[in-house]
Amino acid sequence: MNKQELSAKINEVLAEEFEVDIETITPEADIKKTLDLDSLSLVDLVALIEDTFDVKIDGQDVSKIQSFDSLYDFVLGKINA
Amino acid sequence: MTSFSEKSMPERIDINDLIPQREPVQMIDTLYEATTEEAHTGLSVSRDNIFYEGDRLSEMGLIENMAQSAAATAGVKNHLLGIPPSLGYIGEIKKCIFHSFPTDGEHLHTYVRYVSEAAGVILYDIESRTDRASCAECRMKVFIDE
Repeated sequence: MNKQELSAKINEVLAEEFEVDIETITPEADIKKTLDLDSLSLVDLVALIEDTFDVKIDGQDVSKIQSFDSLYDFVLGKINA
Repeated sequence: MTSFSEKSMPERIDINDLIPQREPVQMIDTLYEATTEEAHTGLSVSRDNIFYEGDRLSEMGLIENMAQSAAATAGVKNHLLGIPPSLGYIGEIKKCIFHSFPTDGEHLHTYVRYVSEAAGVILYDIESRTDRASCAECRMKVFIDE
């Protein structure tokens, strides 16, 4: 899976789970603001990524990610690890 | 992953070592298995239970049982570190479905599975059932007061 395919899939599942317009999800956009994430819902993002891509990720690492582009790179790194 | 299953633990672990709740609000009386990722707990349901309403255990009783079972899973980490159990708080309950309600004399089995963790919040999938039928299932967020 290349980065373009992966970002499209991530955008699709995030838009559905967090009920936001997929057009608002852009590489440079702030994840927490766009998805309206708080300390309780961040774990939903982690669980969704893990379930969708069958990877194990550390919630502490995800909490430091600011943009969607950083998230794409992070997940791509996990898939290719 | 350290397991407290009966096969590996040197002595039977007491539920009081994993959760701070005590009678009459303690909703677990048997600990079949507990690891940092899953747990299997039991509760013998009786009319004396504080959450027993009418002719059955109430919705709140089932939720409390599931929450304490999740906290027991989280409590394994404290136990490994040799520190007392911490209070766990329910952050959110999603996908909660009640199928049936246990009655006096039935034994409730609750199965907890760790899903994910972030920012101090732990996500668990939980199912409670008797020998007769499934009682309830949910996805629960718990945060532990460190």
